[in-house]
Amino acid sequence: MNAPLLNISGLRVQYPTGDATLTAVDGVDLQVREGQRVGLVGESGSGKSTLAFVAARLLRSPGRATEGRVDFEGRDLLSLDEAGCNEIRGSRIAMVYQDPFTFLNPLIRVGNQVSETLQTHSRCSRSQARTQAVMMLERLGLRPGAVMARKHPHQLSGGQRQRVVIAMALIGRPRLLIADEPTTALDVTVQAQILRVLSGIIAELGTSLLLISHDLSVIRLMCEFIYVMYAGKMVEFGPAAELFTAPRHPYTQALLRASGHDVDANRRFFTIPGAPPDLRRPPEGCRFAHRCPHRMKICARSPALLPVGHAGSHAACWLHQPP
Amino acid sequence: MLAAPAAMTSILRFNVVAKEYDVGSVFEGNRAVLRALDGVSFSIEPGETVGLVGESGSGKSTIARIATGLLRPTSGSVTLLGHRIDTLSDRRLRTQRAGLGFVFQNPYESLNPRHRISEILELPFLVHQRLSAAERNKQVNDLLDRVGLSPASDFARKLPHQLSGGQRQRVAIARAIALRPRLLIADEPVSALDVSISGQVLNLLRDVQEVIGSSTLFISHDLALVQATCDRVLVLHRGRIIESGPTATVLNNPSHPYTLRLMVSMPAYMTAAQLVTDHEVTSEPAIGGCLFRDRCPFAMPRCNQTPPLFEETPGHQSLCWLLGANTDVAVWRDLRLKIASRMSVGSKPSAVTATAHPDPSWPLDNPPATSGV
Repeated sequence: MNAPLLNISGLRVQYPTGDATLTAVDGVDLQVREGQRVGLVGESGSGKSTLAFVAARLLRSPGRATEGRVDFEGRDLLSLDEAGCNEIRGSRIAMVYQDPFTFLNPLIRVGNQVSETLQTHSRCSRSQARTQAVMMLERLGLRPGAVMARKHPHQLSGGQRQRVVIAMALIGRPRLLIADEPTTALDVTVQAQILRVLSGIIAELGTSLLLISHDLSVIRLMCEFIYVMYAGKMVEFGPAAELFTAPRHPYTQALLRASGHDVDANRRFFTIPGAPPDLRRPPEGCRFAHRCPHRMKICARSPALLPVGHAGSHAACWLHQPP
Repeated sequence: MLAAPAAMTSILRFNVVAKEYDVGSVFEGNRAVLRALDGVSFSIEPGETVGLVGESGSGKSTIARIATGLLRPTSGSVTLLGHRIDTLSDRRLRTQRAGLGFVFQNPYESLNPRHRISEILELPFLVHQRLSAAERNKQVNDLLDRVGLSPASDFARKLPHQLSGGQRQRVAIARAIALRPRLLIADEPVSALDVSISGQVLNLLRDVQEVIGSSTLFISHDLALVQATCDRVLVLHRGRIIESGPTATVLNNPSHPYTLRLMVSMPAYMTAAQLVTDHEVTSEPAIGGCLFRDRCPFAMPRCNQTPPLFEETPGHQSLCWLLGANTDVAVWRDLRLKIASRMSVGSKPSAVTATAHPDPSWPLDNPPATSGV
């Protein structure tokens, strides 16, 4: 099999805090193959966004990748200099974030913001870049493109702004798009439209997707392979079909059940008791153990992420492996 | 004195409430009237939980703010516990507001960051009941115990930033129920929380509601949440309630095309196949008549006139000509059937089961030929 497009291995990311070091990502592996749509699920504080920032070499100080590698197209991004990163970012890897307003320059017409991105990364004339920008806006449903290109960000709705951001991300035809909660701030009908457009256009361009979300139903819709993070660790990964029908890790099971919004006869929701651990002082062993209904003595030791079943799924849980 | 409330009074009643804003600029000559609410009527009965569903800009928050007296309607009347609040003086309004508890969306912004939890929670007792310091202290500790923040004396001393999002929302709930209000207004109470925490907070909300016997207006964009928590649901679109009724009836068998569209837009109901097609509407929104007609795949000539409220089954009302006599749109009926089959008991819209059901594709992808008038 070919080498993966993005290969994160043994990654550890730490933030110094007042009295201790917070390990946001603790020895995590993740792969995205050519043309693959990969979902990364986790709750706030699980480390999923930190992972996304590291994958695009956008992690800001004081956060620091202290161990591990991030290989993209065979090059180690973590050892690349800033110029090398700039060359890759935008043209090879692009990112879309949750809040489009902070991403756009309020003073520049959106068409220029899109064409500028293209001019930075490819040798094309200004007018060529403008034509392409208008076409890209149209492709994302901002019609007529020539009219929309002349608008400023504040003249657009939230959904339209997010389309502009996606146009900026994709106009350089990147190999990998990292989308961190791209539709979380939007209304459900707008979200549906944007997921449709995004899905269509990355298929057309052959762009791989790393979609990060807390929303399992969005991930299920968009992705074929899913990773689940909890408290800085990868707890399970596998093909979407298997992960959603036969989740192995008790955390994945609980998360799926909680997001179904099922209520019992007394109209009480299923809940996961307790709260995630403090990552400045993570507990020994499995980090979900204190909330887990299947807790055993052996859970005081860290379980390895080992294969389960035959479809390529892995889970880090003692229930599924020999002690 | 205000008139005494009648024996069987609704907790909250909106009667043909409209709210208009002047928008645009005098200087640019584009002054216009924006109708944020248009003929909104509903009531909340004792013990009832009513869900208010709609997208941003639909008028959800305007309804909440009028219900609390923070905004006055342009026309129509609003009655809280039998008293008109839209005409009340500010001073009288303040006493009425003791009957209301409010839980806001964002617990990071709704708690004063410089006040200790004890100061936040004792304020209602100070303002409305003028209790002594010792009495207030006891009430604060009781409240913290009730919302599961124990040991209470520890939490009372903390500042909001020392708490997690779920804990802050517990404090917000404690504040809302401090005076045992008859009506709780919860505006997207869990949309800022993780799914593993939101269940805990919703269960707490249900617990306190049962203990103090209050009614609830539950504002949310999440249909699945409304389905699980509410007795009745109101669907709001551009300032009008376009569909309402018992939650199970409305969400199992929605009739208004806008409600249908909301349901098929939920990722849990969509399938990957639906992602392939793409439909965009770029026209300016319709004015006058049915406000959804320009995005509606079933629009007919008569949609230029505002439809009356049709009642399909008792309590289930819909503001749509499709329910009128002499109208038979097969595509619409089929879509309703498909949605109904997916929503029936045993096939909840969980992420796990959704794939196993047929695909109710939104017929916007293939504009149907409408029969009927």
